[in-house]
Amino acid sequence: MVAGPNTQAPGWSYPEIGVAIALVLSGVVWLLGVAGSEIYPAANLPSFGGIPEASNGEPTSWQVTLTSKSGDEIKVAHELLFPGVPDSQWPHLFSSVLEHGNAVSVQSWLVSQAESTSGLECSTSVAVEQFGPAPERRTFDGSCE
Amino acid sequence: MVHASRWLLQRYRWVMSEGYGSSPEALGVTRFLLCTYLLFWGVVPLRFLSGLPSEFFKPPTGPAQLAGGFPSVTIAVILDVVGVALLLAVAVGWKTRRNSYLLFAWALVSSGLLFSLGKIDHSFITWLIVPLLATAGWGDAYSIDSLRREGNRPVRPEWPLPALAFAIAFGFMTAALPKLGRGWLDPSSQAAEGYFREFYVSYGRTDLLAGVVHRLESTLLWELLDWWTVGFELAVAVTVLWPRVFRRVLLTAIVFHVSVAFIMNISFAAMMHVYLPFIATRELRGWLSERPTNRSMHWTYVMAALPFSFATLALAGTSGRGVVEHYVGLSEIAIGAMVCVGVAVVAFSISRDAHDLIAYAKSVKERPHTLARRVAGRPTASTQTSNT
Repeated sequence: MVAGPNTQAPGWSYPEIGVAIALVLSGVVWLLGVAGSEIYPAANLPSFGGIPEASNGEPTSWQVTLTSKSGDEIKVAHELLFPGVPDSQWPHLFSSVLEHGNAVSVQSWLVSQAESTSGLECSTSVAVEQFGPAPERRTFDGSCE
Repeated sequence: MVHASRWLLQRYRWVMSEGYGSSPEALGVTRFLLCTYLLFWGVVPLRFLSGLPSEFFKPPTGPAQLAGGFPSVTIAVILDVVGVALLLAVAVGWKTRRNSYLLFAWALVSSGLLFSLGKIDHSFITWLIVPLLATAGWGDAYSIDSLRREGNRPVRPEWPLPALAFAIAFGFMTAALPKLGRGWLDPSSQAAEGYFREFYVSYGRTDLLAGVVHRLESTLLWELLDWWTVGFELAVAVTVLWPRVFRRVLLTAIVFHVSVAFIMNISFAAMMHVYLPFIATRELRGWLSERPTNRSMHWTYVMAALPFSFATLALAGTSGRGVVEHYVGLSEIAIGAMVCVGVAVVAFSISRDAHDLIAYAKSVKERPHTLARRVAGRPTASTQTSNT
């Protein structure tokens, strides 16, 4: 016999209550995030299917360029620049590079990554360029300087 | 309104208590395939984190906040090794319940560290399946635990599978509603196209069918894709209260994810395993065999799992290198070894059930004689034995 929706026991079990509370809490946290609350900002929301933008807008992309002692420019593909980093984290890594570019540790890390990826022993400068809706460019001293 | 609320609560309680029936075999297949996938593709090695500047550390709410920074090389390697060991233990079903809970605790820490780069993504739902299905008894079949067990299978609670269904539905709801609110269905813009072009140009996602789709200029087709995406995501969210429909929608989800993988090169291979326990069910067993024996039941689940394996392998190429390949670099050999272990565990389980079947067949054959003896008032063989 297949049980119908009216056949359950009168009292609520702990799992029934627990899952219901978890669902309601998740919903509240999610709504707070969507509403832009400072308690739980949207930036901290898991993106299941993305927090989408409705546009055919210009895509964001990046370019890293090293300049050698002889003045030659070498471009490095960004997917090679951060080995081991999942694709979904690249934009955030570039944002962090541009945001914290004044920190010595960030500069030395970026220059070291770029030089080892390009095969240059030392470079005079490393430029990170972001294209798209919020274009930005930062140039760092290479290890030859 | 009151009537609707009462109906909703009744429906919720019914779904939670018995709406999503599964079986230890379906859960066992899910366990093995999920852990194999996570071992070779799904788990990102944490070692790369140790080289990053501390300025990049932005931990989400959770245990990663206690770390105060990215782990050192030693800690990262230890975390990777512990993760692999736990995945192996759960895959072969050794002390499954305890190791599954430990694996989930490990996932909380490692995912928190990974998400400290800034992006919190959907991949965590793959880990949510671990404690839930461990509670539902995913170590009770096709496992070392089941081979060592004496006596009957323990009775497991029904609620973990519905809880997972609600988590999936919630995830899809959070994907669909913002799309609805931010103009995905506005015919003047084609959001899926916008995403596709961004992935193609910015992330270099040009594999599989991406090159062909890149040449697609039809506004109508792109707009239809927008509507199909939102409609499908809403369907998953809404149908969770109707388990039969929900299962069929999840079958569609496989087509959806494979399409996304081929067009946008985004792998949702891990999600295949999240859906598997809802599809390889007693209902499926009923479709494929009206009077299933234990033997046919095993093959039903194994056969149901095969398409998932192929889909996973097809999508795995877009997932990047997993933790085993990162350290060992011998993925093919390692995969071969895991497949051998899996086949061995299934073969042992089947041989054990075959033994039970033969014993059962013998008892059925002897039953008429037993009945005849009872009718004649003579003591049966069993009562003779018990008397002596």
